[in-house]
Amino acid sequence: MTWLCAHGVAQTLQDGQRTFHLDIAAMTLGAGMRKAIVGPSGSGKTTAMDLLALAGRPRAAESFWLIGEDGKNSLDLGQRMGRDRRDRLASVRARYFGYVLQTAMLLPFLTIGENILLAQRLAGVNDRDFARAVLDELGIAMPFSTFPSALSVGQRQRVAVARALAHKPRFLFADEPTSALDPEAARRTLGTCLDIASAIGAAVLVITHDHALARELDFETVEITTRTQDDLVAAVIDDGTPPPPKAAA
Amino acid sequence: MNVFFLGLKALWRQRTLLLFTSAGLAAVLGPLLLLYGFKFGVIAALLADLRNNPTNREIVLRGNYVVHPADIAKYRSWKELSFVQPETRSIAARMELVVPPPGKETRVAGVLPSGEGDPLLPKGMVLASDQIALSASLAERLHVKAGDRLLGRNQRGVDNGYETFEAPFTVAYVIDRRFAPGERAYTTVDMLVKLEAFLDGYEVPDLHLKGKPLGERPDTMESVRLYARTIEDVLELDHRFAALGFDVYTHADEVAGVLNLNTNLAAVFTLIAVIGSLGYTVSLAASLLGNIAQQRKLLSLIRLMGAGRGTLILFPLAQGLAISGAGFALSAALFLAVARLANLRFSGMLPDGALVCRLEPLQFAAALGGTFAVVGVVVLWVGRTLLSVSPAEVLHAE
Repeated sequence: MTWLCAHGVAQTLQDGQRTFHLDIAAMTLGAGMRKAIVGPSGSGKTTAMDLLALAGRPRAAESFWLIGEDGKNSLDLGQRMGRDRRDRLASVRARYFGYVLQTAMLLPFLTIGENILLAQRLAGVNDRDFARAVLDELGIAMPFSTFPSALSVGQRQRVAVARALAHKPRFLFADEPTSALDPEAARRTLGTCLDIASAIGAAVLVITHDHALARELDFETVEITTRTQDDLVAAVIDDGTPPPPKAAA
Repeated sequence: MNVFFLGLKALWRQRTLLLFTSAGLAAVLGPLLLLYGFKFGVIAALLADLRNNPTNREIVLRGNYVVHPADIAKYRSWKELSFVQPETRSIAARMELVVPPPGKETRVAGVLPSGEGDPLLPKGMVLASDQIALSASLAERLHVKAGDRLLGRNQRGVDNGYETFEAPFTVAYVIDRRFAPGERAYTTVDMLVKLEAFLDGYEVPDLHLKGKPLGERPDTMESVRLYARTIEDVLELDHRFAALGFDVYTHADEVAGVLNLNTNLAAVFTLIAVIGSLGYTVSLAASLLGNIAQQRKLLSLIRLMGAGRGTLILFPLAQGLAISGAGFALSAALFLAVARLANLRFSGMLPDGALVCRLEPLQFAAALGGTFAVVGVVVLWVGRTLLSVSPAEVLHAE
């Protein structure tokens, strides 16, 4: 099992006079886990996603580890993010992480097959049959050679889900993945997505406003708590998990 | 599929952009190729004409001088000279050339010394003592051609009348009218020395003619027949012989005129090419920057999916190479079409029907290399923008 453990990972953003401070006090993800970060707009959900998904560099990271199978081959992400001149985190993102965004964001100049296989290629995986199976599971029967422009919004979002899962990532990050879909399509798409994630043993972290959907799909919800004082907004995320004892290098 | 092919795919998706930016390059590069093609065609033809005519390399020393064997040896050591043969006195270097049977055709002509490497003769031809080369006018007058035989004659007065110097010759070669104007003949230096000695009253053992002992004859010559190695050497040699006190006549001014024209046109062309290249660099950079700005979210997504920061540069590199490759192909097509028309229309204006507009394959390759170099500069330029594309952008962009 691979773990992603973040404790004391913080970011500070300045927007004019307003200062926003986010502290991920505790967040642990492991195989089969389903967690949902919930909170109002502007509470720092996407910034939290930046940090956990290795897309943004934190201001501070007390303990931020990617812990490999049986505690071996662990990676001190906090240290690596601090001086990642060679962009080695890119390979971590490619290999271990999958992303589903609010809109599909498929590359319009690639076919749906190429979009999905691009993720595999970047991860060093070559499994066309699995990619096809994931697409079929999500109800996309169109051939790989179909361009995204020929798909509906809902179909595109499902292809985006397939792209995020086709390289069998250990962690799936989804930022309001169904916000562009009607409630029924959202439930169905997210449900299938979770089924596939479970099948490949991936942990899922979702950002959503939809508490009801999160509860219905058995997500452990982690509420962002915010506190405002003058021009400072301080947000904290804490799932209550303890930091890892000591990651083996 | 790597980021390079993503760049190509993205560009193919925007074929209109590809078409217009390629046409933009062709609008700059096509005229540059044509301009250079015309410059190269015309100047190359003029230079080839100059180089192909050995008279343009001739260094003529006008007047009578005293030239010692040591002087000849010195001139032969100059690398700028390709041909050096001593000349006897011009008044003694004349022969009556008679075509047998006697009385059929006869002309009196000046005879000049030939030898190894004579630029007026075909490469490798060296006249033997019984061979003679004639200018086209002289051969025409005598109605002879290569292979015909004739007799070279001269006379000297003696107490009881005249003695005749006679040498049988075979015509070895008839020299092109452009290279040897007038009526001239060419034979070996030895033959001319023998003739001069005969006319000066010395003995000529070969012809059983008695006279002053040859040992008393001075070994000086009156002048030297000279040719520069290249047309570029002519001006320098002109100055050098003038400095030695000779009255020199050369084609240095005509040669310098064409060489200067070449240099000046090359400078003008370079200036235009630099301005054009700068314009195109800015234009290509604007296109690629615009394209990157338009696709910034997608590039950020590719970064998020795991493409390294450095590999993103392959995206504009692929697009820049494709645009410049297509632009170069358009330019080459434009060049070939216009050059063909121009060559059909104007080729008669140059010597030997030379092409007025042409480029060598190496010059095409250099132009392509230059175009790709511009792409390299532009990609490095826009690459700085790509370094700022963060994987987080796509998350916040929605």
